[in-house]
Amino acid sequence: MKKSTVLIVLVTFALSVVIVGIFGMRMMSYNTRIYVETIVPTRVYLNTGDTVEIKPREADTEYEVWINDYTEGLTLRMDYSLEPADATENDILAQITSKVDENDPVARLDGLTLHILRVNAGKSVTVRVNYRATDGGGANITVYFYIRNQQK
Amino acid sequence: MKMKRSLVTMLAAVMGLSVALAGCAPDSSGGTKTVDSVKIVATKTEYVVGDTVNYADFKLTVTYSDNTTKTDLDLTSEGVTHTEISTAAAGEFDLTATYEKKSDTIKVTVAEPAEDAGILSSFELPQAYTLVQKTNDPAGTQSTDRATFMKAISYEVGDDNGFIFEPQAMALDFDTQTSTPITNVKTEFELFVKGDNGSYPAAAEKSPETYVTKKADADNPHDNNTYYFTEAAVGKTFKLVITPSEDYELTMDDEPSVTVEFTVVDGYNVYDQLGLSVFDNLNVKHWAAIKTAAGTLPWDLKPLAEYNAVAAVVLHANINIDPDELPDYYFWDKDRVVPGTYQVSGQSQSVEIGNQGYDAAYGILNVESDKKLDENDEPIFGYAEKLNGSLRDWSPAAENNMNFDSAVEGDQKEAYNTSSINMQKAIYCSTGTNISGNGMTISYTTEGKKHKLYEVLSNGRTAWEKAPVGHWALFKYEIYDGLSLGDIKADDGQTPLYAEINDNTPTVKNVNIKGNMPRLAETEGDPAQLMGFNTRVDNLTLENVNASQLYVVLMNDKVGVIGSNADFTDCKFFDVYSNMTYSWRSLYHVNNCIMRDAGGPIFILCDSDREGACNDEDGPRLYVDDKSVLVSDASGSEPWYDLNNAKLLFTQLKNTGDNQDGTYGILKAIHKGTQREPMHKDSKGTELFNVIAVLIPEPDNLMGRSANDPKLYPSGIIRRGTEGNYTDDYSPSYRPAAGGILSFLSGTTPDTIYESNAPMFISGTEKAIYIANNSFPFLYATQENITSTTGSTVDFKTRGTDWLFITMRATVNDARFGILLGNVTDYTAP
Repeated sequence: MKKSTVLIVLVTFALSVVIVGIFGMRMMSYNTRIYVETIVPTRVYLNTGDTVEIKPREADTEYEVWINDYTEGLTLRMDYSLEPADATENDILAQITSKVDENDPVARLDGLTLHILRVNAGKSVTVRVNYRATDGGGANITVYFYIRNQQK
Repeated sequence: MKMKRSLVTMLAAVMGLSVALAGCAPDSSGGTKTVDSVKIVATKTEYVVGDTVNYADFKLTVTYSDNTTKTDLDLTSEGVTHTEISTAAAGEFDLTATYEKKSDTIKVTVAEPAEDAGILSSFELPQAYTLVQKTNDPAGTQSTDRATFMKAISYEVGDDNGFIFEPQAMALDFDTQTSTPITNVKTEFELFVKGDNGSYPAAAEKSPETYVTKKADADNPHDNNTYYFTEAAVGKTFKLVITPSEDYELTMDDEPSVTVEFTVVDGYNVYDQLGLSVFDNLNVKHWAAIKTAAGTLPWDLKPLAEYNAVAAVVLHANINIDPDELPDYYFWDKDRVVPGTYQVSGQSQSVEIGNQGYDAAYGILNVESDKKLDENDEPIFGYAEKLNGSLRDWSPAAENNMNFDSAVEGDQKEAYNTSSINMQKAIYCSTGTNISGNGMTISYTTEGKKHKLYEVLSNGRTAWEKAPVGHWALFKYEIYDGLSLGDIKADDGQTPLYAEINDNTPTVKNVNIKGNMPRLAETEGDPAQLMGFNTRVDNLTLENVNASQLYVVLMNDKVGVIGSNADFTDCKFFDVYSNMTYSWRSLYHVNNCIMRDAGGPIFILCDSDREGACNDEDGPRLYVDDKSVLVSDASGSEPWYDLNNAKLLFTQLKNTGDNQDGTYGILKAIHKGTQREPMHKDSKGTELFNVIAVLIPEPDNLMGRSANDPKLYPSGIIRRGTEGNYTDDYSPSYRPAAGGILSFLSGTTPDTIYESNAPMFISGTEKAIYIANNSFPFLYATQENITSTTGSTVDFKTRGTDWLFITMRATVNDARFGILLGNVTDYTAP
């Protein structure tokens, strides 16, 4: 390589630094990841149009919902809000964590809608559902749905 | 009248016989029969304190001399007598019934009233176990869900101590809407042993005690649900079917039983921070007070302090580490007073021990760190005020960061954790304890009431202006090749102080390690927090490990004969402040991993000094399979680049991306054939680079080099391909002494180019030198021809174009370092 070429290389790089500047790149909050810190359940809707109270349990991240009169075809959908509101991701995954008999399930989840498939007469079921943020920050809550069939 | 004597005798005999025969029934022949025996037949023999005994539950069966019997004779019948049973107190009592001078006795038990077992409305697997079964990605499809594991997890249980597996049981009162947890629920179990054919037998194990026992223990709040596995169980897979005791009144809908499946391993079951301390077999002295105070945990078989050589710790709960529950020794304490003096290494004078150097450290920080870097009069960082209670990372005792107490005591007992050859320290240190995480999370609280899990001193001596460098990890593996653990004795001079596992190839699997220092932490003024792991054993395997928000996930220190290599398989690393790994000449294998959003380059490959006789094979080596997704999306404005003065690097990179006339430069053009680019713009227009690795010949110095230790060229190996067959070579294999691969370029002298600060690009087996000339923007060299083009119509062919390796330098006086750029289009999920 000619000496002049090398010089051009050096000059160009020196110029590039001058043009853009060592200080030309200011600190910026590119792609700051804000994790979901809290999932706050707000309301449970029944397919009957009614809403049901959500009661906090002793543990901070646990709640319970009481359904005292099961009717066949009962479905519930829990609404929630996320804190902070500007979390980078707002996806929530709900999973039934109570016993699920694949052949004869008592409940099924479609997204955030919980379908109660059966509760035998005079008996009750507990459906434990874990809701967690998918952003890896670890935010999650557990909701216990206590459902009774009062028929004898 | 006088009767004859013989007559009197006869009459007496007749009367005696009459009396004797009065109780006799006629026998079958019409004669009399006598009672031979009686026997109590009971329909109930167990009562509870306070019960009323119904004697109708007891009948007599009478057997006569002629072998006939009479049954169901009530105890209230004429001629029958019996003792009374009191139910005022619990115990075992005799009930005796007598008839015709014949008696029988039966045992009757009066039990304490059962505890109010009450209603059982819900009987479920513990949620932590259920979530393990669900929070994974069984298909191995690299789910973008950062909360899942890459691979399905097979649950493991240790045999060293009790395995607590308590179903979640509750009693529900719908009328008052009250749910009452039933703790230590009474249970029964059946054990099934998985056969060699991979299936379970239909019948439960007849002698389950061969493998497992339960024992009543008033001190164990989980004794109804604590299982002790034997060594015979190790290596076997079991299915445990657990049902509630019959004491409960069930109101639930389904049959109440739960099933858990697991494999028993040689290991210690951990449920909390205290149990995690058994991982450590190197900081024995530091943990002694804490372990002694804890004594023997209720579900353990021996005192906690005696578990100092376990093969593995097996987690059964998420553990958040409270710094206040860690050894005081780890932290600065301005009020700690250590009497005496010590000899300063290599010097003759003695120095008072005092508060272990706190005052001196505070002085350094007060001068160096609390500079008034902004217009305010107040120091903007306040490191000095953060010193007390923070992690100790400095000592005036020796120049090489020797641990202070080691110098004081004149021994090497603690050299393992803070030896002069390795400044890294850790909360938990081991020679080889495996970690089986069972899908659990280990996290920590940064600030407790007295301790803080961050450092405000760096490099052992000084503070940086902007932020310290972190030297503390959560976990550390270390084999010290200059010192045998067995030679270190306790104070009695006889007992080995350390139990060495000396595995040299430990494995960490199925665990999520979560810190509090994300990629874009506002670190200017914030101290460095914890690394995940530091290792100096031959090979550490991280398998199905998730890690996020750590200072660094793993730092490898290669010293002497220790390999300090690492395998990463099925791992997900996200959002770390500095780098995913920091290697000192380590060999890495990365297979089926996602590593995304490091604050700096994903890998730092350090100490690759070619002039220091470091051959490629001895330098840092990175082998990555084509399933792995490595994305850093770096703008150069991240805190890590800022703190390392690497903004200039990005400036240069961007200038190679676009020519001055706005057309594509070499950086973009080089990948044109595959429509992939190593840089792109985000929605704000910020140009982003996928900086996979930086190869640094100078240890710990990204930009520039030391005048006293000039290291100019990097060595090492970087390859990509399929697992075990890494064919695409991106190595910086340029050797000036041999003339180099560029020597065929007409009219050029490779050394001239290389000695300039022009970047050299290597993609696959192709190499090129960027020469900034508008009419001749670069030279491209292959074995066959030389292609020159202009502007955006560059026809630049490369092989193995997924990655691009560039060597460059800031100035001709600086060391040339390597940058490995990956495509930004590989992975677009969040």
